Amino acid sequence: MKYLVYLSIVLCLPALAGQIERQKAWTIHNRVAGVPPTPSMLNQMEADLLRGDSDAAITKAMAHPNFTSIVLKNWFKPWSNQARSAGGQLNDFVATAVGMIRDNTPFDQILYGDILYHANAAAIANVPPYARDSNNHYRELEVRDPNWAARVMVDSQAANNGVTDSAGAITTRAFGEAYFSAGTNRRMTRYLFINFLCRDFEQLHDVTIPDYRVRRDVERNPGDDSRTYKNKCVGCHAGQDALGGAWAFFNYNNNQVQYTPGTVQGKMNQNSQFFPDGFRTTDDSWINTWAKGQNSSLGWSDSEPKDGNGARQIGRMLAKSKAFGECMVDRSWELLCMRKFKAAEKDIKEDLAQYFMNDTNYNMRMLFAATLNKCVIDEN
Amino acid sequence: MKTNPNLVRWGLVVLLGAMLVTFTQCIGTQSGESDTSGTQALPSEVLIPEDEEAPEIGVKDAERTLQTMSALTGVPVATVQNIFNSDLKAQLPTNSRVEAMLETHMMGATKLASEFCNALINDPGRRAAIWPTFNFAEANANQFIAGSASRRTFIIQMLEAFWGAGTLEEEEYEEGAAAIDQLITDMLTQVVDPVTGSTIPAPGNTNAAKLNAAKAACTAALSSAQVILQ
Repeated sequence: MKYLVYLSIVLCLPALAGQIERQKAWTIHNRVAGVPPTPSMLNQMEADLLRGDSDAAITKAMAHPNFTSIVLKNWFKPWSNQARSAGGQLNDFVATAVGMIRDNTPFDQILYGDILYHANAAAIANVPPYARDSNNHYRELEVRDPNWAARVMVDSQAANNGVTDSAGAITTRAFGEAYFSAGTNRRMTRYLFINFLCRDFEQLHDVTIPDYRVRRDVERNPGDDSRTYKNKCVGCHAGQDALGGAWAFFNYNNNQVQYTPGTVQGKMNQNSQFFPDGFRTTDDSWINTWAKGQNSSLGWSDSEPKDGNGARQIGRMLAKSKAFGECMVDRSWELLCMRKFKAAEKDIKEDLAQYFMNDTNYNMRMLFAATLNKCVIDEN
Repeated sequence: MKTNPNLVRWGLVVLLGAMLVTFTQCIGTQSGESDTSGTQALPSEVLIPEDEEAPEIGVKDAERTLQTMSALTGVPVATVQNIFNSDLKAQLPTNSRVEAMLETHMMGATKLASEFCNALINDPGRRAAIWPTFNFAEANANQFIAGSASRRTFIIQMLEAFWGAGTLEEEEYEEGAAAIDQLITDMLTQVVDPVTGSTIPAPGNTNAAKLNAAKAACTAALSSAQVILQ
């Protein structure tokens, strides 16, 4: 009798263990590829997990074309518009970001690389070629080819859009349309912090920062009260205006990013009557005054200069910060684990950030795998 | 009355001191140095508190739901693309947050599932891939006789195809199977509307009744949590 009990337990255990692995494989494939695995794929991933090779199972899921063409596409779309909507068209920023992940390109280059992904239009019927002043190439690519992400190729952004100070996402047409159009170019600074450092200006507000770079269009006594400026306005403007010099030569006009090296765009010095003694932009120099004070905790790299000229240099400084690495970890965790980090998981987040920046050299696919290992494989 | 000069003198001193204390923000520095002891930028993350439950699942957005139902049924996306774009996409979730899921999202998923199931059940080749032994062509609904092996097989084959074989506990499959079994019964027998009290007559032992019951069962399974959640 005892023998029969032991035998029944032994026979049941593999089935119980297999069911757990099959459920995890089902979950991983759904979250990575957006669709359930086929029966054959489910069996393969189960075998990988039973063998203890979770990375192999995750790699299989990432090989599904929907991982890039749908999941990553819809993940990046909200980053390229103020409304944070995934309902817009495929665009050059999304294609570039997805292409970089597909090709395991170090993802810090999203903010300073001379990189653009587009398809060979000649190979796809009814898809117009890339044009710097139109999104038609990407719109038609998305509509006509469900597997568009396999079609895009890496190219020089500067060679295609004429922006010699090309800086990855910053100088794409999509980002230009969203963040360089009209206004005073401050929107670009704000959304770079939101998208890539996971911080809005309220979180960076620091009134102790010197305000010698605040431009002339900022009133120093709004409502006839200078305390409002000194206690509120300067908290954002001291930092963002000092950084914003990087965009001095940029605008969005005629449906394209406009770059005028050596010529400061008029919007940078408009409304100068509000405070004529304020800072006048004369070139594309910038200073990171948030490198000191409370915002030094963003982890600015010691090996990167805290001042410079133009978009590529400022993009590199932002990308090499600890905050960038942590932000990519935060976003990956929400994408794949369906939630934010719990308070007790702060160490996991820091470990993943260090792994991403130092061990993988900003490899997003390896970050995705490590994330899934933490929140799906290791979860009971 | 003569003003006391000492009182005036001390009053001015106090006033001057108060002004210095109040308006120290006007004193700027050019070096950028400031006392940062004990201050940190506000954290970017909103960590879920220890005593709060964190959702371990998410919901599929519109495009993922569309692709999932297409993958599970074998029905191409193009078959439902028009109604998806014109009507159903707006009724489906726009992100994966399960806390933001609404009843309208459930209805959107059900409607989309019904489109896929209608196309699936009407396609002999595609339906045979999921139900290889079920006789859809028979001119009656005998395959769905209550308690029959053919009815049981139809349900189990469908659940394994849509929910993944072996991904759930046995009890969960049985629970789902029981609910769908009841749905098939309701589709094939006379029922009384619990709200109006009116009687909905049985559809009869016809092929059409069988196909309708099959579509209903398919819709229920395809729009279930196991499919639309992740």
